[in-house]
Amino acid sequence: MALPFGQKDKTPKTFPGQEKGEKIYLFLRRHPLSFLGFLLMTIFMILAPFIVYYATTQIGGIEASDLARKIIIVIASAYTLFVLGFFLVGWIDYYLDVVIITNRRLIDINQDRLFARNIAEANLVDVEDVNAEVKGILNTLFHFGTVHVQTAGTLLNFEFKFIPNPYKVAKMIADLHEEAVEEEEKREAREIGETIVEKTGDSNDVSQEEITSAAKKLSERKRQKKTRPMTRQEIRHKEEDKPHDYKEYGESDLEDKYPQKEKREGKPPRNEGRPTADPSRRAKADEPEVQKDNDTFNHDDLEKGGEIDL
Amino acid sequence: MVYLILAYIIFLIIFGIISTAAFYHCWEFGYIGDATKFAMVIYSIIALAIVVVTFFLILAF
Repeated sequence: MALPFGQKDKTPKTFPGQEKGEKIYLFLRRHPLSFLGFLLMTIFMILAPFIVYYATTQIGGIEASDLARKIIIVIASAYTLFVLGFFLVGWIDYYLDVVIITNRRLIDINQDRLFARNIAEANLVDVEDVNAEVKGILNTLFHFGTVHVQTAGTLLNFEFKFIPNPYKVAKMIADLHEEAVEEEEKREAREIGETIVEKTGDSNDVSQEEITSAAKKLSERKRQKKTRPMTRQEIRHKEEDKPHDYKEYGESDLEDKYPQKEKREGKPPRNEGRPTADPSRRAKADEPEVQKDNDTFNHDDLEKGGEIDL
Repeated sequence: MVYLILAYIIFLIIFGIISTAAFYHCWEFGYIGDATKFAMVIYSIIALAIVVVTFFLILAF
């Protein structure tokens, strides 16, 4: 978010509760337009007393005494300070609502005015489904919306509201989830190997039975994961089947990494190198048609009174 | 007149307490390089200006 006087809102590299080796991929605040309604209300609250004062003194012709004028000044000052404090609290409510996406977790920090703060987090491995939703005229024109993240089992489901570029954020979460799952599987395999080495003391003395049992455990875990129904994101990514090359992201990098329109200039056609039809079917089509007798009965069998195989 | 100023001072104390709570949130939950410090400075300047002008208008005229 650009600040006045040329300052820039820098994406932080660290945050409280950050784990060792955890990197911030995305640090998001609510879209500024979500604050517009509150801002307009505050402006009206500030202008209202001036309108009333103008109406009563200039138009209505009411003249106040010296003491009355001072009372009005004090009341106006108190009211202005109240509106200023009200605006600050509302701005804190808006500005401290943050979504942090790291290489391991999703963190949703929700500030509800003063002395009310809710922090929810989930591991990327536990993400089941991600949806992006953009509803409304302003949301569509200015590209902000809601990202719904469904997590496994009885864990919390996340709802990131007023997120800029929600489609790209949702895709990023899905991709990071895949990477996290792969990392988790590698870590499990490593742990199984280390456990075997610890028990035996020397990796060369590992018996075939231990290796087989460890491999069975790992394959069982993989099989259990595969037997569950595929989520929508898994189906989508299986169809795409593209490798993902990830680096640290800032908000401006999303546009470069996920261009809205894929440019195909200079690239070969999508179908190049792929067979357009089944060769076996083509071979059958090349074969000369055989004239088949539509009469399936063997009349000789009928005359003989034997059984007919239909 | 005295009671008016006294009431105003009491209001300023309450206002100061709430502002301090807001500043605490900005200080504690803000991140390095964000707009929280800038907001605190601007808020302080505006609030101070309003108070000074008010006292000037009350006491001078």
